[in-house]
Amino acid sequence: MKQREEKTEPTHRKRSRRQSSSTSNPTILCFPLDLILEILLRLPAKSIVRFRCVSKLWSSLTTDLYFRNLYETRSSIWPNLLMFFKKGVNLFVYSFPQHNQTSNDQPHSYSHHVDSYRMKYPKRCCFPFTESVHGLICFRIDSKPIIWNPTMRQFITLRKPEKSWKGIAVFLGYDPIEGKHKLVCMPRDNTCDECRILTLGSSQESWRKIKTNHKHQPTYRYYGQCINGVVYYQAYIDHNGKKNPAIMSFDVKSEKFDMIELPCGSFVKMLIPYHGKLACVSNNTMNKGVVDGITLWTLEDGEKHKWSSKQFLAPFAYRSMETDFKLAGITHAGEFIYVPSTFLNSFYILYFDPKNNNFRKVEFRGVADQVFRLGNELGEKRLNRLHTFPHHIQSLLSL
Amino acid sequence: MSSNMIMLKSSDGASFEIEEAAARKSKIIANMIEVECVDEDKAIPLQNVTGNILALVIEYCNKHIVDDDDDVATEEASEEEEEAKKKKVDDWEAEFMNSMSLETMFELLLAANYLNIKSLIDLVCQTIANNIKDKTPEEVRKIFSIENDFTPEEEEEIRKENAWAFG
Repeated sequence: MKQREEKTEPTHRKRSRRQSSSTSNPTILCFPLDLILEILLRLPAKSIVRFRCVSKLWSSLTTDLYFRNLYETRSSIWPNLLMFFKKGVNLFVYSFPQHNQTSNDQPHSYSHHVDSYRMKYPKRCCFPFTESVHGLICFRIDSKPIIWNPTMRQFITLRKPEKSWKGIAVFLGYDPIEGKHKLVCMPRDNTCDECRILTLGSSQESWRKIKTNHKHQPTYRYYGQCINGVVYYQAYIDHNGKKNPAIMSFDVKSEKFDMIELPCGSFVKMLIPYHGKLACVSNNTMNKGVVDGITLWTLEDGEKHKWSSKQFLAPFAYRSMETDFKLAGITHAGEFIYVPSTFLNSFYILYFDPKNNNFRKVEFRGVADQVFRLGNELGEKRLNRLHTFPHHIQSLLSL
Repeated sequence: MSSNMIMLKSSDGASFEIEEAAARKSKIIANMIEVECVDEDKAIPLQNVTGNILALVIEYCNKHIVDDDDDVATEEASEEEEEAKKKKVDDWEAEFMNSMSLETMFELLLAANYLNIKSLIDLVCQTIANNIKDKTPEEVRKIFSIENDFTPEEEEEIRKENAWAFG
């Protein structure tokens, strides 16, 4: 800090002397920088961003890549469940701690520890079923990808990857080794053997053309899933003009594509990370289409197309709750996270432990209570389409 | 377990007697004991820690050494017991930090850093963070005795770019 003072202009120095005589704090003056960092790392993102105007030193400390990486690593130990719904021109965003695992069966209730805000979202932005990839979420506006950092409350619309493409499928991936996000983009309406790739934050953010090895067409209804630096998505593979369903994998670092056979020959309901591996979820249906359980196929060896399978009883089969709750993900501890798709004032998130066949119920009270509804002109109806992103980490990356 | 006592001496000359097991919470003191440079009759001088802060450090170490012993004794404690115990420690820590001024917290943090007591550094850093998280940049500058080296224009730009963080 002394060094910094020496650099400042004489006029500033005068002010500094005056200040330090009135608020002299000898402890602080010899405070090591690494302790300041330790304190800053424990602040919420909002405070960190606000404190960027404390001084040039604090600004550079907290925008530095080293600090950002440390912050993300801390945040990944306690990932969040990020949820939002849109109403009018606004997004209403909530994030809850996901790690809260208590041993007792008492319903747990939250009205704090909830970070919530509302923000305007870009017009015509469409919010398909997608995932949070190392703190960032990817959507689309027409045929332009759009990236959202919920922590920094920023949206950025990227350039159209290819003029001639009408509809696009876009997947976001993260390479943990080089610490980089990349977007993979390809046409949605026909099979194609090349795609466009963009590395976020690179000096000249531009789309590059890459061959995909397999002529394929992503099924846009389904979304991508990035696990340990590999993006997986379901796609039709062109086999001499015949379209066969399969899973495509994209290695974010090496930018190599590969094809993996689906465990049961047809598309599955969802792709999900399970204990660090890719898993496919498909419903087991009884007669009359009632879901009585799910099958979880775990990818054991991608090269050999080897899957292992596990059957789980549907936790809600007998309560006909399947319509109200949907599977959003699986915690690192192996609990299935069930979230509601609509709610009135408060809602439950259900954590289902398939090993012991029991539930944890976490209630979020007053998420949209009367006062909140009045203040935000939400009316009195049920709020629809609650989007959920498990394993969300906080990233200080500025878009 | 032997309850060897050792003596610590603060920068302002106050002497404290502390169980060796508690003192070992400090990596620095633990190292001194390992290499046997601790003379039983002589106090270890801690030049960077005043008496009132050293008293707090010792209070913390004493509290946590008991907990560590418990861990060994009840290795097969049920999850509920574990949780109850953790809550007890959390409550104690909250109470311990609650009575402290920010100024004392900073001094305690420096002492914990000097003596290399990781868990105490974590606790104090988190408490300071909780304390300042809702403050304005002006208040933070005052607390940390930081001079604002931005021009008004530069500061205004940061505020404008990140307006959401100032609401």
